[in-house]
Amino acid sequence: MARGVLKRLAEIAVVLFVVSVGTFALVDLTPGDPAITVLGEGHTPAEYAALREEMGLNDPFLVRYGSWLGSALQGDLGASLIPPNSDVAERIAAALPVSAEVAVLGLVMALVVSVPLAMWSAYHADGRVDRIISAGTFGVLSVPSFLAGLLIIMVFSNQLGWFPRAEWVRLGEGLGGNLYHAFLPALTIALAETAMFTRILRGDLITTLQEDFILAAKAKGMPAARVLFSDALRPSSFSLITLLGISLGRLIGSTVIVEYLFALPGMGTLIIGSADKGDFPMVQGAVLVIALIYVLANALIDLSYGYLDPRIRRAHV
Amino acid sequence: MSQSPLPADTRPPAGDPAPLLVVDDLRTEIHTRRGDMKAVDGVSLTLNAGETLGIVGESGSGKSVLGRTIMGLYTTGATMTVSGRVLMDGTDIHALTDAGRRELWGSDVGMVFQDPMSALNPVKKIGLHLTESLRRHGGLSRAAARARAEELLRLVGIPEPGRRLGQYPHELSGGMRQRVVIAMALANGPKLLIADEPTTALDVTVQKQILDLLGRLQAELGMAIILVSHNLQVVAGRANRVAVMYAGRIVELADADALFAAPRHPYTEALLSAVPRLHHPPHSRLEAIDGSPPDMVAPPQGCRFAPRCRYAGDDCRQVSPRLLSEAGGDAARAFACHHPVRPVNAGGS
Repeated sequence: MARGVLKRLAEIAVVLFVVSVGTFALVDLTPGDPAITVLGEGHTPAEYAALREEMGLNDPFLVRYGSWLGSALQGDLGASLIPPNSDVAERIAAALPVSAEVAVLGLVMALVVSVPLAMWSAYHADGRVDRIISAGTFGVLSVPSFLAGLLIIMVFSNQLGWFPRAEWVRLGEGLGGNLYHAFLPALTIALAETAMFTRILRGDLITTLQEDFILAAKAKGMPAARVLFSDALRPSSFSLITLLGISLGRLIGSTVIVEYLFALPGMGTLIIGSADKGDFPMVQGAVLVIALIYVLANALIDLSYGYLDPRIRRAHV
Repeated sequence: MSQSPLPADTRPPAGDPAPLLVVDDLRTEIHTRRGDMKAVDGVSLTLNAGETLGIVGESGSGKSVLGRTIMGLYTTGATMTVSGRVLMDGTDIHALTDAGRRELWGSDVGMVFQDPMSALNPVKKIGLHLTESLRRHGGLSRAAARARAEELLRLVGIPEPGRRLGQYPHELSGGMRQRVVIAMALANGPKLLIADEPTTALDVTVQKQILDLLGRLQAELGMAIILVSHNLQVVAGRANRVAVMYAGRIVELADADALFAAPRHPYTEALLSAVPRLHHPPHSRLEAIDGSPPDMVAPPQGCRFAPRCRYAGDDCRQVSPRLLSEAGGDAARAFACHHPVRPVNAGGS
């Protein structure tokens, strides 16, 4: 077991190293000059050159990367190039909880809806309800999230007036208000995820339901719902869990559209805004943190396979 | 030759006035892409309490489907039409609601499956496999169910039953797993055990152990057994009666001794001569049955065995023979043949 964990940690370290080199190289590869970003237009070339020298931009790549990595390992991701030159780590610490909460909430909503839907669909495969669900999920998948978000805002905020829009209440300011404001963005995210989860789980469930052990469970007189939840769900959930891990990483970093629609101060907004202004330390820090979450989430998913199937547990040790 | 007009299987069974199980003209059509497959095509039989009925036939003869349709148990997603009646203790199983059937499954009727590797859920511990059924039907407490589960494992000859309860199926050998499957089927003291090829997936030595175990359990618990197998040797010496199935129908039904001593249906004869015997000289060729079973989406007219039968005449290809007893012959045996094999030691017609 200890060897497995060590191996996993080594893998995580390698992935993070590659990602950090990649994002750091962005500065060299992207057009634009950090010195211009800091000073703005209209200065003499000598002034820009002096600043570049001062920022260490003329040092070799490895030297610059080394000093950045050294600070990053101590939790210091540098400061923004844009006034008021706020601390990158602090900005991320403020934006990350917003994205993480909306993503997790959306995924939970998607799971709660998709698992029973997939079960019903698979149990009555090719029946009328199954066809309706299949058509529905397909329809939802083909709606882009900005359109879904706009529709949701139109219906729930503008028409019904049940939910506010374009406001964010931090978790620290009260759980109720926080959840209330997180609901619509989470719902927007949940729509597409629900459709995807339902389709994936339905397919795997249909395969599992053909197994003899399902027939054996029925032959014991177990009710259908019990057979589905207790016998069929766990062996069918590998693809779903894998997808869940990927979705979590993706949603935290790239729900820019949803964040924009609901005016959420999240990671997507932070990254896009910073990249737009050429604020490289901010982009580098944010991408590194998202990569870290991605890698950790997937490591967790890998560990959960062992929980899902005891045969894997032994193979991993 | 003349046969009595009364089908043998509807006669009241000798001795016991009320059979445990009466199957009457059971038909199962499985809907496939190619058309409706007549997997079971008009099967009638009776089974007395405590009796063992062997059902033998080639792969695809419908014997496994028969075992499952008797209980009204189908794989999820399979679409089929079932007609006919199955009376268990006088209750028509197919007329029951789903909930009613679930009361029967796992309590009065237990099933043993072919492959113990796939009949146990890989993600559930042995203990849960047993206790969930005990708790559902017996209303046992968690602790009582666990104690009973341990007892069941001991009953089916599993060493260290207490430790096994906490293990997963993959930690047990194939033979041990099949014992667990049997323990599962026995959990609530069934009156009928349907064993569908219970030894096919096992080593030869383990096969004998499992069959001996079934015999011992039957003697101890007194349940009736339907033993489905493609292997005549599995059934020989263990079944009281044997039904030979071909292409969805019973072609011969007789007491086991009589059937093995002198088969009357050409198919039974062919099956028996395909079995290696000790008195055969070494390296002698086994007889095989030429041809293959008919396509059950569009079975041939007349006797379904006729295309492969060495005795077949023109009548066989026209008129389907019914399963009947021979007038003046053994009332306990019936066969569906226009040109039956003559008994070796009896005169015959």
